[in-house]
Amino acid sequence: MNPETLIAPAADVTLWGLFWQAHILVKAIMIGLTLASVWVWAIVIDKWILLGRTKRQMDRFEEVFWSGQSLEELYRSVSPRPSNPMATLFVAAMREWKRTYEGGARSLAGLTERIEKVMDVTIAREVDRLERQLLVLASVGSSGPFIGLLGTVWGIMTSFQAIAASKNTSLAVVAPGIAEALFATALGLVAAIPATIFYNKYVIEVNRQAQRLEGFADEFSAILSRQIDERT
Amino acid sequence: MRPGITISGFGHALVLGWGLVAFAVQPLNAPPTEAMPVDLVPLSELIQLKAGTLKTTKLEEKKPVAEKVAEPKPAPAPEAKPVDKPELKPTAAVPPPPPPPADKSLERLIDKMVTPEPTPAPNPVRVPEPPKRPPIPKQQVQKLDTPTETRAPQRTFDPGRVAALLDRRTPQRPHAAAEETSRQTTLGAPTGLDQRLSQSEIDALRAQIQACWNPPVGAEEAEKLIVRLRIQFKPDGTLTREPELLNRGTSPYFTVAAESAMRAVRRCQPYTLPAAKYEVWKDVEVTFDPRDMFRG
Repeated sequence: MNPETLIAPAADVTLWGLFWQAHILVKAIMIGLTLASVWVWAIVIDKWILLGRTKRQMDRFEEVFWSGQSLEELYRSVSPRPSNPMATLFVAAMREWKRTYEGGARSLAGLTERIEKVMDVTIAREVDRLERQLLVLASVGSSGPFIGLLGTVWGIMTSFQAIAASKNTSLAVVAPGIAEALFATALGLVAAIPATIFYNKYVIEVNRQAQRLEGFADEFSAILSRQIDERT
Repeated sequence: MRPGITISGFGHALVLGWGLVAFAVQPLNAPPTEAMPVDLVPLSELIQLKAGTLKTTKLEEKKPVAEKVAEPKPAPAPEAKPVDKPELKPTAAVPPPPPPPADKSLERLIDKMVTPEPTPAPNPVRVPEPPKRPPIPKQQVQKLDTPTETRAPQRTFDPGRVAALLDRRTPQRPHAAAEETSRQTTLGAPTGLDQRLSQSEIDALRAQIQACWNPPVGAEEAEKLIVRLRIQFKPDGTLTREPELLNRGTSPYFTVAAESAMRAVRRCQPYTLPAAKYEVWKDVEVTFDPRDMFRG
């Protein structure tokens, strides 16, 4: 045990002292909230990188796509490792198209529907990949304050019990316990506020990218169906 | 996931480490509430007035108010400045030296200013002076403080007291506050017997009478309804005789007010008053003022 807390348990209001004097439940809540905060920020950073990169790559891919390059060439250059959702969408659609053609299909009747289905599935998968773990942000954002509040309530309960035991209500006796208890709420808020803010921001961002993907899918399927119609 | 968790963990460790170091709670600067020492002081000690006598002369305390030093100067050369200083001497707070020699030294100073020639005449008292006189005119250009001090040893009194003559206060000193300086010590209450009812006992008497008094409610011009009664008590606190009305009022309600006051005095007997001071409260005057109930 920390020797300082043994000497002056009431006066130790440092961060470590606040943590160390707390009840075991409050300690667990503090640790949990700290870990939640770490996790939230990890997700925030990762998503920031992921969404930014995705947006840039999609921009680049669209540029290439509309530059008049032949689709076959584009498919050949992109298909080994599609780097962004749009490319993945493109590759999935092209693969379906080629499979039908190169398999020597006799009828192109159901091809358009198949392509659209494939693209839908791909979009769903890609959007899911983009918004994976955003739910963690939402959970932490909504439940973090409550968890912190639980720690506070518990800490205040124990500090009131301590008051009752010591029969002394001077502020010097009460204050450390309450400070320690409020520390839990502070941690909860520290975890929850960025989680909520970034959750909202990322949900909007993911929706925007999903819409962009769907728009691209529609355009691409229009192109493909035009090709199909020309060949039949 | 890798960069995120790394950066996040590192950032949290940084913040927590900083918090461990910097989250030193400095105590609030609320000064501890000091225990207020409470003494029980009988109010009478503070309120009992000493007897003032009319025969003593009123001690006019000297007011060390600063004179406007710059004005009375006859605009002389800068050497004349020290001349002003001895003028202030009577108001100086220092123990006054024998005045005549001081005045003469002043005259001498002035003489020196006006006539640089050594004039041994004006002071027949100081015989040994003439031998010292001649060098003085040469020093005249110096500060005039020095001549005073060189001449002082030839006086019959010691130089320390001469130095005390000098007004060392700066000419620009501010006026002293008048309230501070005009404190009169000879004033006293005309009835200022040492043995008299203290304020708290008067309060007690008031409270007793007030409990019984129904002041005339709603009467106009309450200031005209002030009733003064002379009350005489027996040692047991009852009235010796009927309270005596000491004043007359013009208000039509005055009779009502006087009646109510007399009724109150009558109703409340016997009064509990300190028996040791019977001589004091044997015969008292009480003022009944409807504005603030009444005053003793």
